[in-house]
Amino acid sequence: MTELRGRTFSNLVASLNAGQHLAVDAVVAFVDGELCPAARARAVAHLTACQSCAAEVAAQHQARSVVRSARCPPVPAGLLAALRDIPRTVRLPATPDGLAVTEDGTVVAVADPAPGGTPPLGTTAPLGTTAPLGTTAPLGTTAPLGIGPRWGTGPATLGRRIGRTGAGAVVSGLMLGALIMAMAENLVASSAVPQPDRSRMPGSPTLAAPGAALPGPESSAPSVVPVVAPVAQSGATVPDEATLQRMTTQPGWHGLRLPR
Amino acid sequence: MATETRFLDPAAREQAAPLAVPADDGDGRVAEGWIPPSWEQVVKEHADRVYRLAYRLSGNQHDAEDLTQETFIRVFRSLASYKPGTFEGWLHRITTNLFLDMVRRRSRLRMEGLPEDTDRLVGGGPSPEQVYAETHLDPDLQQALDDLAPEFRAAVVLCDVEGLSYEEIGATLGVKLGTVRSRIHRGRQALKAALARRRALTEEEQEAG
Repeated sequence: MTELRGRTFSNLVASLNAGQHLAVDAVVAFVDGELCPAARARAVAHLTACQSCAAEVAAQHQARSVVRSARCPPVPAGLLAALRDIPRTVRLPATPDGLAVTEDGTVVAVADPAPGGTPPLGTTAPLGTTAPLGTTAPLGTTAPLGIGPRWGTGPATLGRRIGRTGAGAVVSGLMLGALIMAMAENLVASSAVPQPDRSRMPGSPTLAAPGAALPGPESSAPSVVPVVAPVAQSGATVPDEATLQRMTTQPGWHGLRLPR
Repeated sequence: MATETRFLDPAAREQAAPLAVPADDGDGRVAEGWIPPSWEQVVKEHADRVYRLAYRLSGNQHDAEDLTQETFIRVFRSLASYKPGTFEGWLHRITTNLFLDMVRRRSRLRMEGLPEDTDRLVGGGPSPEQVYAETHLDPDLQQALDDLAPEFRAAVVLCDVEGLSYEEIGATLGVKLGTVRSRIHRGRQALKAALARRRALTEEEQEAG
């Protein structure tokens, strides 16, 4: 009888010989009215003669009506209000700066946008293309929304998170920059400013050490280098010292892990 | 076999989405002259259904509220790409998939054993007495539903709470029709057995008391 499984509804109930029973697929489809008229007629004919199958059908029918007749809980008033408020509390862009929602509903902070995404901080391309920032583990481990703060806390929470992420990228960029510059000063006498051009970085092999300390598969020194210039040059996004201090010491701050 | 494999491919599933919608969708079926509903209308019309589905799936008010809210947030974010006639199937799909994702995420968490989340894991919900006091639901039924594996529970709930057709359920869960039939069949069997056990237990207690 199992060979019937997987066929179309009309074949679910083949003509049954004496002693044969309806397939479970046919029983459940009969109860839910999912059999075509011809198959249904055959099933009815069989059920009038077969107590075993009739009992199966009755059992399915009983379980079905228990669930169907159960009362449903009303929507709590607070939830209804929160749903109505969604246009005021939820940001419309699919991917707000530095934030993305994964397929399973988890909000993750991203410093490195997917191809075609919005670059964080609104800076130029080199920052957005930096692999180490985007692949950092701590950012991706942001608590899923479902088990995070309650939804009612709304935009404030999201807004803070975005701010922190952005600030984290800036701070990390600056600190990396300082680090690289310091090393570059030692290694390259001619210029203290790191150049994006890899061929002009004789210190690359040495720089690989701090780069490797960053979590992420793509970490490498050459790709760290371009971060520095755009962030430092953009000026507008660089917070003052007090702000930096506050951001790096905030308990909820989840920026990049820096090499020690 | 053709009907069985139609929903296997995600792209095909998207195309099949309009099939999963009842013909009497109140939002209007004609694209021309169709006026997008206000958000207030969307919430008013669908909140009950989404919450009911979320509640029956998750088995507790807290998760049902989270799932409902997340569903509506997704809807709100994607309203621009919404086409009339797909709304209810869309809501079912979002809610059910969010629920299944939640269950999978929690079973992952449980295996990794994150201590701060223990109070939110499955099994840490309100007692049946609390559930009944809050919602006046039959605690035996909800408990019996909760005892089903999530995939079976989803099939039964979509069929018997939401009244979806097998084809719609297959599209919602992304499984073949044969799988839909066997999940509903086995789900109901387990449900009936669980209810019978609980009834017997209650009667024993009453006789003893």
